[in-house]
Amino acid sequence: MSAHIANGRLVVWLTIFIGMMFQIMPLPSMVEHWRPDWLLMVMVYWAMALPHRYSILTAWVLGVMLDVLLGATLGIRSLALSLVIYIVVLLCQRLRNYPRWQQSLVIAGLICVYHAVIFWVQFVVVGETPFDLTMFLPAISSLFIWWWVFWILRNIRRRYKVR
Amino acid sequence: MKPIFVRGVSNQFRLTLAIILSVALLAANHRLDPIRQSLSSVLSPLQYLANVPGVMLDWSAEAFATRNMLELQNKELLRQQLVMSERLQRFEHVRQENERLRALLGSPVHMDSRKVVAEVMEVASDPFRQFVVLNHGSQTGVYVGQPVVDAQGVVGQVIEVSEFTSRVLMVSDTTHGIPVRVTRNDVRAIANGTGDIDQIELRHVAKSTDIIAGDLLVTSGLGNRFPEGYPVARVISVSRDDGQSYAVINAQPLAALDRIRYVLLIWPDETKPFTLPADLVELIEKNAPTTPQAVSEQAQGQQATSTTGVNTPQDQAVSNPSATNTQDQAGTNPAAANTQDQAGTNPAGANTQNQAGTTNVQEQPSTAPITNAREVNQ
Repeated sequence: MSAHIANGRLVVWLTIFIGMMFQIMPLPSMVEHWRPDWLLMVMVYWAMALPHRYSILTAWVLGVMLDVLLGATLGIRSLALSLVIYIVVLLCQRLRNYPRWQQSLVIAGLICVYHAVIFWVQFVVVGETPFDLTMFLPAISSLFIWWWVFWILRNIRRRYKVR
Repeated sequence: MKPIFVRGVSNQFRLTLAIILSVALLAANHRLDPIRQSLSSVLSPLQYLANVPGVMLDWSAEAFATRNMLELQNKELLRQQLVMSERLQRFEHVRQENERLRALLGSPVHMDSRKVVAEVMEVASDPFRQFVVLNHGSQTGVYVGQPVVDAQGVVGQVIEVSEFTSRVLMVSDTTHGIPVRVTRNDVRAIANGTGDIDQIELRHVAKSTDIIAGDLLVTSGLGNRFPEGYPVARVISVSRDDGQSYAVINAQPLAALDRIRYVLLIWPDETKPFTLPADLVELIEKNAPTTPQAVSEQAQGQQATSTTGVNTPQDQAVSNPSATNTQDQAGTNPAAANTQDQAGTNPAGANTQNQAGTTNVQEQPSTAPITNAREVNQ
């Protein structure tokens, strides 16, 4: 199988691509603040499962792409995302063995870090950014969605023997 | 084989590299616009693709709409159209009159500018910024700084353009400011975004300034970015706290920024003489048989005003001293006087223009000369 030959690289990028689509998809303004960080979760999964393949620099590239797509100042999300993925790579052995609920808690914490870093950089670079606790709402929604993301991505990884 | 120990460069090194690269990007941000534009052109298919589910939902909502709903909608639209076309008839009359009066004063005749309807593709998911992405880009001629309005009022301005998409910064963003004027008494101010989608504020307004809740703020045309006269916001609260050095004035944007779907892109520079779109004219004519009297009366009225307007010289004389009052609308265009070949009005026109020009220089040194120069070039 061609996917097998390419070490499933295509599959991984496809999941990342889909994650990015979910990340930028227009949502009604009511649920907008609750949008889970799809791309971050997908990237965290691959960094956790295959840290020797997809890690900090991949995250950096994705962060730049996300910055362009979201129209933010270039470098904000790339910085935050690579920082989070660095933590994941350090913790990957432990994270893999955690029960699922504990994993989701860690992910929620990482998402808080991610948004705090974004806020901080934005504050320094753009200035005049009002502090708003709604920026941590994605952590709560991601807490509940991580289970499904993990399950789907693990099945994909096993099915296509991504290594 | 999955290696147990990570070989190659260490994670610390990668992180350092990533941080250095990010900081470099942040530092060089303003010089990266061309790169950013090409990147966002490359990534715009992603945006279109992400928009597909929303489009599908809309389509299915339309496809499965019941007959009842369509009928209701149709009825409502017909009613609106009737009301609008009645208003349009009056508007047309007033516009012609206004044009004639302005010509007499030597002020520029207001021109109609090119407009394009655009659809909102994406709304910022960033809680700190407020913008939307439109489905038109440099292919359509969209440029950075272009004003964007919707049916109710000003939405914002274009800050980034790629090949097929453009990004609009809304008036409620913290980095956005827009020069406005109170319609009641022509007080000028600058409205800044607050980061709240339904609130903007007027900063640095003296406490003695005459602004009250309920005042309508329209674009003043100063600053050369937004054309004059578009409604922006309505003042909702004014507080003159002794502890503050300025009055705290909050206003609510008129455009429904949290639920916009379609907006208008405006090209203020690409003007053409005002003409009603052909379909609207047709529409008015179609509605005319229902009220034949009104139309004929209107026609007579127009004739009457045109005769009085052109022929009576005292009209001119009377309106001349009041010319300084029009200073706020001074995008003075010498060419406008020429389009009307009335030899008698020309000197008066030049006169007013000078007055308006000088007052304008005092008020806003940067904008007035630029306006003049640009319009002369056209």
